[in-house]
Amino acid sequence: MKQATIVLASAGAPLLVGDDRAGPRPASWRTYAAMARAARRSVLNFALSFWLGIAMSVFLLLTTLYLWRTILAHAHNMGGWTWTTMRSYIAVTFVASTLVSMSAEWQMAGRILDGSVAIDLTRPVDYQLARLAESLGLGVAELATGVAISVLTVMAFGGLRLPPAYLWPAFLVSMAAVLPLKWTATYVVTLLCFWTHNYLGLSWARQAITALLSGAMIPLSLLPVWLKDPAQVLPFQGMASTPGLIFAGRLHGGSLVEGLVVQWAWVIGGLLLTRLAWSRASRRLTVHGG
Amino acid sequence: MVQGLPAADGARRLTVAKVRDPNVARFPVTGLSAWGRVRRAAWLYRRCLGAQLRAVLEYEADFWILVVAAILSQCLGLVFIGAIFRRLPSIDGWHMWDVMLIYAMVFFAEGLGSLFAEGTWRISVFVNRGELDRILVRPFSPLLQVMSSDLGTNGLGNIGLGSVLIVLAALHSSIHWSLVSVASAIVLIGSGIAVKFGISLASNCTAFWLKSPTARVAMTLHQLGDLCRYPITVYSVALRAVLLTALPFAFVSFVPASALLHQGRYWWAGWFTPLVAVYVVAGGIWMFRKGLVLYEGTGN
Repeated sequence: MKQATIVLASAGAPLLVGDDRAGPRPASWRTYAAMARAARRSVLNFALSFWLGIAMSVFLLLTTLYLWRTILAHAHNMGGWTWTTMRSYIAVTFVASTLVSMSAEWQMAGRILDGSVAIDLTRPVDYQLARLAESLGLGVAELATGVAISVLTVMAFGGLRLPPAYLWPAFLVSMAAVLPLKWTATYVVTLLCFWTHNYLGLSWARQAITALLSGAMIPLSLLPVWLKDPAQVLPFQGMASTPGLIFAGRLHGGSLVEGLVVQWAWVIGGLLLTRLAWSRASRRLTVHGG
Repeated sequence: MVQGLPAADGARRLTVAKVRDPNVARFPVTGLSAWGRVRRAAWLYRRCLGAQLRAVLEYEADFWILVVAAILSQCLGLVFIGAIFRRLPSIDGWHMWDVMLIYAMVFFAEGLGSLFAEGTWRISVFVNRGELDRILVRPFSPLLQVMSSDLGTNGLGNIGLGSVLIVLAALHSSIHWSLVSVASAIVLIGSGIAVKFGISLASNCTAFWLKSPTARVAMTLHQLGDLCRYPITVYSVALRAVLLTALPFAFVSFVPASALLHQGRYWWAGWFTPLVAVYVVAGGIWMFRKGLVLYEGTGN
C-alpha cells in the first residue's frame, strides 16, 4: 500500500499515500486534539450505547465485589489479602477496565474489514496517532464515569481506604500508563484483521488473556506459579495490577520502582511495536475500486 | 446444486442440476398434517443451518480462531475457580466441583445457543435494516429462519469444554448414579438450556421496539446472566430476586445444579426449572410474534 497512488477527484494531482515527502505538511497537534474532542463528544451522540456499556461493566464489578466479599469472609490465608485492601484493589482495576472501550476497537476493525480504512489512509494525518487521539478523547469520558461508578459502588460495599499521600505520585504515574498499554494491545490485535475476516474471536481471545494476566479478575499473586511468573514480565500487569497494588498499599520500595519501570518500558516498547505492526499490516491492504 | 456441465455445443455452461433431496417431494408447502409440518420445519432448519456451516467453513482460520477464543474465555473462569479453591475448601457450602458444574452449565447452554440459534442475535440488524421482508415472504417459520440465519462456531468450543466439565463435575460430586438421577440430570440441564434460549430470544426481541442497529440491550442482559456462573448465594437479596424472577438467569445453571446436587436450602426449587423454561420460551415466542406485527419493511 505504501507506494499506491490514489488520485483524489477534487485535488486532481496524484497523492502518494504513506509517503511523507509527497503529502501535505504534517498535521499539528491541534488536528489530533480536535479528533480527541470529537471522539469524546461522540459519547453523547450514542448515549444509550455508552450507558449500556457502563451497565455491562457494573455487572462485572458487582460479580467481583460479591465474590471476593464471600471468599475473604471464609478464607484465613488468601495471600495476605483482606476485604479492605481487596476493595481498594478492585476499585482501581475496575477504573482501568473501563478505559479503551470496545466501540473504538470495533469501529477500527470494521473499517479494516470493509476496506473503508483506505479512506483513512488518504487523510493527511498519521493513522496511528489519529486512533490514539480518539482513544484518549474517549478515555476522558470513560475515566470520569469509571471513577464515579467505582467510588460509589465500592463505598456501598463498606468504604474505600485511600493510600497515604506519598504513594499518590507513584499511583498516578502508574495509572497514566494504563491507557497507552491497553490501547497498544487493542491496536495490534485489531491490525490482525488485515489477515483474518473475523474480528469477534480475536477480540474475545484478547479480552480473556488481558483479564487473566492483568490481574483484573484475580490478583496475580494468587495465580499458580506457571501463570504468575510469566505475568510479572508481560505488559498485561501494567493494565490493572500495578496501579491496583500501589493503591491497595501492597507495593513498596524496590518492587514499586520495578513495577513502574516495567510498565513504562512496555509503553515505549509497545508504541514502537505498533509502528512496525502497522507498516507490515497496511501492506496487506487490497482495495477493489470504490 | 450448481454444476458446470458441458452442453451439446461443447461450451461449458452453468446448469442447475435437480435437487436430489427426496424431502422436497415429501414435504409440500400446503396440505401437511401437524406432524408433517413439524418434520418439514426440522428438515428446512437443518438445511438452513447446513448452508450456514458450509459458509463458515469457507474461512477455516476464522473458524479455528472462534473455537480457540471460546475455550480461552472459559479457561479464564476455570483458572479463577481453581485458584480460589486451592486456598479455600468451600464457599457457602459449595465445593470446587459444584461451582465447576454451575459454571460449565452456563457455557454449555451458551454453546448450544451459538450453534443452533445464533441468528436470534441478528434480530436487531434485521429490524434496523428492514431485512425481514425476505424472510416473511418465504413459506417457512420466520422464527426458525431467523434462528438459522447465523452460526457461531465458538459454540463448538463451548459445548466441547462444557460437556467434558459437566461429566467431570458429576463424577466428582456426591450424586448417587441411577437411571432416575441420569434422567433427572437430562431434564434439569435441558430445561436450563431452554431458559437460556428463551431469555436470549426475548431480550433480542426488544429490537422490534427499540430499532437500534446493534444488540446492545441483549448483550447487556447477557452480561447480567454471567453473574449466575457462580453460586448466587453470594449476592444480595435484591440481586438474587432479580435473577430468580424478573430475569431468571439463575434457572440456567444455579437452580437446576442445586437440585441435581441436592445442595443448599432451596434445592427443591430446581424442579420448577422445566416450568420456568416453558414460561420463558413461550414469552420469547410471544414477543417475537408481537414484534413481527410492529415490523415495518424499508420498501423495495
